[in-house]
Amino acid sequence: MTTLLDAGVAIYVAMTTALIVWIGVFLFLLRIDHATQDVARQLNERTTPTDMPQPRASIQTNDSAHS
Amino acid sequence: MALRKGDGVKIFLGLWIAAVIYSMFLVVPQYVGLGDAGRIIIVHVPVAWITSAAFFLSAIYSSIYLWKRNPTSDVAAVAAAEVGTLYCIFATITGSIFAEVVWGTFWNWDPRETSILVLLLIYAAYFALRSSVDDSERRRRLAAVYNIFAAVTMPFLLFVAPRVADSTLHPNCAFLQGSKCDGISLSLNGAKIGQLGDVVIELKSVTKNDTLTQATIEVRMPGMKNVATLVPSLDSAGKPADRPEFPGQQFRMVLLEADATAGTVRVNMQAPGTNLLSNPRTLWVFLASNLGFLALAFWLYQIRRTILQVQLVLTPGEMSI
Repeated sequence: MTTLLDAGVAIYVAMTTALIVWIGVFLFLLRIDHATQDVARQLNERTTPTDMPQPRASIQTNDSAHS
Repeated sequence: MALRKGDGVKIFLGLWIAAVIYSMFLVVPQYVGLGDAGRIIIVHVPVAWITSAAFFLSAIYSSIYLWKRNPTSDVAAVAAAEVGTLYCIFATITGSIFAEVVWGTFWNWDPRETSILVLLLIYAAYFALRSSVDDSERRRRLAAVYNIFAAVTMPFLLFVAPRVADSTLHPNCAFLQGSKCDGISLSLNGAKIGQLGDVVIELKSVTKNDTLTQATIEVRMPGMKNVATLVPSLDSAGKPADRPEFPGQQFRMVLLEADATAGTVRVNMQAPGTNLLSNPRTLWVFLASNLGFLALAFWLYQIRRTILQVQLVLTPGEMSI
């Protein structure tokens, strides 16, 4: 009876295991990557100068006061 | 999970490493003396090399932090040190698996194993130091100085110490020529006693017939526990023929040169795995693995750096790491 640890089969079992682990790690990393990009983008949008309230006051000189 | 604009490169990286894993098992040939266990070097060695690169990068960012006092440099140093530590743990695990198959135990305090454990402890202390200081400015300054000193010890622990030690079982000669990789010369008329690693050898005779040149060499293992006579030989083309095994070890004695008339020989101790990269398929898969794991390290670094950067912006004085 052939088992997973037989000499001819074990190498395929090891390769499949390694590939499954890698696919899992890769998908996990891709999700974290997307999540961090979202957070960083939201943070940038909140702090970008275009969203900051623009100064509306203007300085007026009163020349008559000096004359 | 919806794909985005920059995901193409990352998916290519995923496929690249998947191809490396496939090739590691089904394209790379078995190694003489190591069997299938030797395939692990395709992952183990690149990961160990990239560990040193990550720690080195971390030290550079720490130096920049000390120079410019910009917290983003400190963030980069932490991210690189974390990637280095992760890779170092991975190298230790893959090395232990190799040790179990080839040496019969996961951990036997071989100089190589001990030095990588010390390196892990040094960087564990780096993270412990960071978490033990409350004041953020002081924490960054202390950690940066410590990190530079840690990086100075790294090349000694990873590359020098294991090669200086005579008793290591680690197959160093697979990639780099070390002090014991050229073998030693013995002569019946001169120095006929020598030492290979911690084994004393004595040349007894050199004979030549039509097909083989044979050297008879007496071997005394450490503590004189095992004394044996080995007869390595060269074929008529001058290539090693018989490679007898040292008593109780997986190392083999190989005859590199022999002159029966002059009574001189050059012999070496051949560890399992020596000259692995002489096979072109192994070499190309090994190079592909280096590239793949380097790109993966860079990706991990980018992710971790972004997270720490966000943390820095949100809580400038309270970084948890």
